[in-house]
Amino acid sequence: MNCKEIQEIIITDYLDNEISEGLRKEITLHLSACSECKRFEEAMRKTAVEPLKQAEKKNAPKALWYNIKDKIESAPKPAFFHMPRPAFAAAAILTVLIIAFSFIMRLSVRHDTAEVYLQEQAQFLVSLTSGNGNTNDYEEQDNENLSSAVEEYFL
Amino acid sequence: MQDIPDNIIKEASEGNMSAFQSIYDVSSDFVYNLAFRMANNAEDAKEITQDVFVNIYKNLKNFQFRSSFKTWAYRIAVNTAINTCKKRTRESGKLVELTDDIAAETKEQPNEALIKSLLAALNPEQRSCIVLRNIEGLSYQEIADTLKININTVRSRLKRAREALVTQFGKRGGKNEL
Repeated sequence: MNCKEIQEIIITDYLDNEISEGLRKEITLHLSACSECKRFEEAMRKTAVEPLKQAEKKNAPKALWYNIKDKIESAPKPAFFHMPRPAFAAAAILTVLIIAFSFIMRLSVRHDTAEVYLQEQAQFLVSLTSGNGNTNDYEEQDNENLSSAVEEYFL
Repeated sequence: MQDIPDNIIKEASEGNMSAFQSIYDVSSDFVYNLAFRMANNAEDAKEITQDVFVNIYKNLKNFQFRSSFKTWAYRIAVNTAINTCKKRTRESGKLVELTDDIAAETKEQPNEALIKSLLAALNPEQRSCIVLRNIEGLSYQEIADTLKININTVRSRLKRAREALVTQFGKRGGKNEL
């Protein structure tokens, strides 16, 4: 490896101890022989790594818990009826299937009714055109009834 | 952070406030520390920490134990902190403000001013990797899992961040031998 490649490893894996023991030994050996890489490693460690490792750990202020508790307890409650997501999804799918099925069933029933209706109408029309339709008989009957009623009125 | 028993997480997810307080007691310091270092000031750190725990409480029922609770909590903390930092940057036009209080804070701990100055030189994505690695001590794989990024992306961000830190260290008058 050349110095550029070694410095690429130093700036991350070497300084963070994220390399194998074999590679670490190889780089350490190189550093003992190369003053430029040695200077690079020292500068990087002293400026970009160690100051932050020495950063004081900050603790959460004691009062913070009460603010959080207040925020949680004052948040609007979820709806009374709360269903877990998978159950809600299953219920929604089932509802859609039931609606779709009943719609299909109704269409089927209507189709049968419509067919019967159309057949009856067709027969009626045929009877009209043939002259043996019931309506002609009904008209004649009606006329007869009217005549007998008139006769009886005048007699 | 010590491990939190699964039954405590389950009880907290069902609304048991006492169980949730147990979770808070164990995890609040690392969340606050991360928030403080990401935001670089105490006021924003408090706001971030509150938002993080309210989010944790709301989403505990969705936690499915696929990752550790610590990784999940870190992820929420980092995302909340990054969003706050970006919001502040939009408001002020600067990458995390260096307040004039730094001179006063230097009296408390000389190193603190240097740390704040160094972190202020980084963008939120670089800062999150540096804070998780150098301050929180997470491994590269843990950082990758927390941020849901590739491990080589972690390396790349750390590399860019450290190059920026060296430059910033030099600007502050520190001896930069690079």
